[in-house]
Amino acid sequence: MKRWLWPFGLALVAAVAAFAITRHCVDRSMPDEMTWLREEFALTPAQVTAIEQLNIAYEPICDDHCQRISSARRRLKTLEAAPNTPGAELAAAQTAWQGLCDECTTATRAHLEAVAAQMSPEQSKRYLELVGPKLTRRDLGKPFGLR
Amino acid sequence: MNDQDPLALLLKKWRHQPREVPDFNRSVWARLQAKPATEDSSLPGRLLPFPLASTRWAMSVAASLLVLLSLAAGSGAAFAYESINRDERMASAYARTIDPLQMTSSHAHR
Repeated sequence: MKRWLWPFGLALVAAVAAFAITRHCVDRSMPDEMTWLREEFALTPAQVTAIEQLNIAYEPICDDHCQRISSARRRLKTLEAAPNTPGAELAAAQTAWQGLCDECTTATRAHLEAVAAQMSPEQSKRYLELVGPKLTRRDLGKPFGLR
Repeated sequence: MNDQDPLALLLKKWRHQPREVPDFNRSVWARLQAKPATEDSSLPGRLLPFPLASTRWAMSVAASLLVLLSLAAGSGAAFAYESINRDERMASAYARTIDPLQMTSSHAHR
């Protein structure tokens, strides 16, 4: 009986290995985000240029937000970890954090809509439906790793 | 090994004397009659057509086919999984490039 088990075991291992290797290869062949955007939403060269301009304009805003989020997150972590942080100081830091999250999500949403506005109405709708839910929602904009 | 080697001399002289078993033939026939030949009850014997089941390569052929089919099934499943989830994954990757909250949480930046 055991003689008949090893081919099935080998087949199982082969199937799992084939699945993992194929996924790895497919992952490596995934296009970059701009290529995906161009292909998925059938963008014309003019639309691609316009969206690239929007990305260039958004980049410094995004950089600024990233730096501010990182420092606000570090500050909140430090305050929460300290045993004798005054409550008012912690509350102020949390309020500042929430304000920063609001500002970032609003800016990101505005950029998303600006990109969508460059597309045809049908593709724009698809783009917003597909990418919109992937952005951080306001209610989820809590500092990661903080209680 | 030379001719003076005691082991070589001993081996030259040695002759095997099989032990006589008086009822050897009878006992063999008795064992055969106690368990007569039956139809092939093995898995390939039941599943495969007679010529293939009877060949000594049946097991190897069946195992190789099974492994090949498994490889194809594994790759096919991966392709199907990737094509179903491709848009969702690309949309998530794209969202991470424009969302500072996600960028800083994953320590990635465009």
